[in-house]
Amino acid sequence: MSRLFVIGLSHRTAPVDVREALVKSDDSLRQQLLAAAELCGEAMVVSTCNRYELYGRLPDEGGEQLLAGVESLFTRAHDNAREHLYRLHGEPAIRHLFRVASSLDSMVVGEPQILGQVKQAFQLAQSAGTIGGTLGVALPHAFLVAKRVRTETAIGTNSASVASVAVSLASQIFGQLRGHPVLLCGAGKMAELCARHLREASADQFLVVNRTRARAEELAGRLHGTAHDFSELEFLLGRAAVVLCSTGSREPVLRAEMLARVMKARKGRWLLLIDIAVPRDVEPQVGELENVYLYDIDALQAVVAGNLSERQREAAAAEQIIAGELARFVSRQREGGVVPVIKALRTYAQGVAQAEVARLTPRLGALGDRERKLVQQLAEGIVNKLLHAPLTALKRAAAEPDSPLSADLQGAVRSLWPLDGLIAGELAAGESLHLGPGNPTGPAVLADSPHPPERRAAAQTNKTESS
Amino acid sequence: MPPLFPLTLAVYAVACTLYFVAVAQPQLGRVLKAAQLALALAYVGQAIDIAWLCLHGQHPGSSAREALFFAAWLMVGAFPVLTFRQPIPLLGALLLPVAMVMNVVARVTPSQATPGLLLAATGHRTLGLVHIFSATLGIALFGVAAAASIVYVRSERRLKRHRPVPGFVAQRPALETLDSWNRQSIFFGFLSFTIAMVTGTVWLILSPLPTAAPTVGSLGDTARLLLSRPQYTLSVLTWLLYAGLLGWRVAYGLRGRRAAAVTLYGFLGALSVLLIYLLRDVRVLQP
Repeated sequence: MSRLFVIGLSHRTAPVDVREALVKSDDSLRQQLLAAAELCGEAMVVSTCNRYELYGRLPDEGGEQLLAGVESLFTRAHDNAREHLYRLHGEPAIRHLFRVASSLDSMVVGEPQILGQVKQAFQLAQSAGTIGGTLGVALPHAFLVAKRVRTETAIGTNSASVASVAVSLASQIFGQLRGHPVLLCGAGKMAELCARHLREASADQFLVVNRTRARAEELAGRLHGTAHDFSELEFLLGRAAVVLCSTGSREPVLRAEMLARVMKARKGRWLLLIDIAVPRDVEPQVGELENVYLYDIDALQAVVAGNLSERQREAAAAEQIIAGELARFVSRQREGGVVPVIKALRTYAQGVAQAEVARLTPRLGALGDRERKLVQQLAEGIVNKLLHAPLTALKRAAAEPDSPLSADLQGAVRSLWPLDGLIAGELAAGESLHLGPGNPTGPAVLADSPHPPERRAAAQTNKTESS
Repeated sequence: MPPLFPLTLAVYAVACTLYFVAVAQPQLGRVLKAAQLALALAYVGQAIDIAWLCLHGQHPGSSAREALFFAAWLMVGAFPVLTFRQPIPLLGALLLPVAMVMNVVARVTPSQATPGLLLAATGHRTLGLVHIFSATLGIALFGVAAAASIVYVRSERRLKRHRPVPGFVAQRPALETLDSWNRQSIFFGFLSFTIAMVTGTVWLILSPLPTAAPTVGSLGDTARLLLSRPQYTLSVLTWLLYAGLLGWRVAYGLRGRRAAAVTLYGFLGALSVLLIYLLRDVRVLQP
């Protein structure tokens, strides 16, 4: 069973005032949490505007006290934080981590930022030396899961905001936005946001008209575009490919007759009108003109809502991926638990074989290097063949979920051979390997390994041995 | 029947099915790759079949059915060229069934009447070959334009109804791109079709039909000739339709939905011409 735990709160459990209190005290809280987590040797804080979480490894003893201490730290940041906290450990914690990294637990399901934020948190923790064998294995696996979710489902492909829908619409009409002028009619904040999104999508020409010339110039400056007088509107409509309307006018600014004239002058070139003003800036009849695509705020919101429900449908497929990956991860963890026993048994048996070779070789008289090597190989071969069946049985039993057989077999092995000292040594070596700040990626390599379970276990054994 | 035809047809069917799956499940990138591979295999198979037919005297100019077979091959060949930068499964899913039907029709047409029927009667073999080849190429290009037009109409309708294509199918090309393909395919198709019209007329003047049918001569004779042969009438109408479309595009900027609709009607006309020749070859119609 993994000892990973998570304690924290998110948009699902806490209102915004609690979340903002935590974000405000981020620096000090992060330090305190990491200090508290020193007890367990591993810790990582994921802090975004929608969640504040501490991931760590439960110590063998004193886990409850640790969690209680961490809870009190949250409470210090906000009096009511405790009632919004969730505490998970073991499989539920791993599942939560996978869901967070895959953006299934985000406010906007499928949003891409969260993966970057978790990666950043992991890197910070790595540089602070608080990543060990538990987080060092779980986090890379979470990134792997997130990648699978993103590539194997369509969870992140539909636009989930008005601005990104505007970009998507423009791309569906014009393809590349480079060379397609964007006209901002009005200097509203939302229009500017849309324009910025269009600029990120390679739009490079911005024309701004506003009744107040100064505001037009200000906005044009920010967008590296050009400001124009309102009187030039009809002329500019002839040039533009995308028009973002956000004036505060009570009457429509773009009327059907005007647009009909404009479309004639444009020789039917496509025109996308994004009207985010309320009251609307564009007469609804304009949408009936050929090659004119008019989206008012309701139409945009409807597209966003449709896309979000599409994402929810894709989330079901993503949950299946997570369930499969969780089972794989847990199975690997279980196999990992038997490794110290296997290694100890091997070490013990090889030690016996080496001792026998050392004892008998002098009696064989003068042996050449080749003969000496052959005797050595003979001893090792006998040991390997004898151990093959018990080691395979140990690994198989460990891979079975909730099976008492694994513990029974391990107990039998420990009573048949004097391995306790060796096992303790292996555990100590494993801890020192995992907790070293410079080596957190060691187990991660194993997590991504394509080898079957038996070979992975062997690889893990060899890795630790070589260390 | 060419040796690889059944196999080629089966692989086309596999490619077509895979393209449909790629349209329905766009996130499965491997399906699209498999479809492209299957299409490439089928295309090479058909090329081998065409070469085999040529070696056996049944080249694309020898009969309407070989011309149809060749037109289908050209049409399929234009598809990967157009979608080289941006794979469009929907275009494949639309073009391949049409190409498969054309192939099947070409192959199930009885063969006894076809070889050399047109050319044996005349001494102007080169002229006839140029006429048939350019007509075939023109029809193939009109076919590509028609497929692009169908994709255009579907995408445009969704945009107008405020139901834009979902992001995960957005590998569909932009309206502007589709319209540009339409324009280019029609331009080159029209050029080719015009060559076919000119060479066809000259061929007809130089080699009058053996029957007592009207011939090209005075305006009245020409009109009577056109009316007496539906394939001629349809050819002229198709040519006029595309000429009008191109002219309207240049002069008044006709583009988009209306241009797509005209393209579709034009393709139906061009395809009908080929089918009439095919029917004539199997002696359903009189020569």
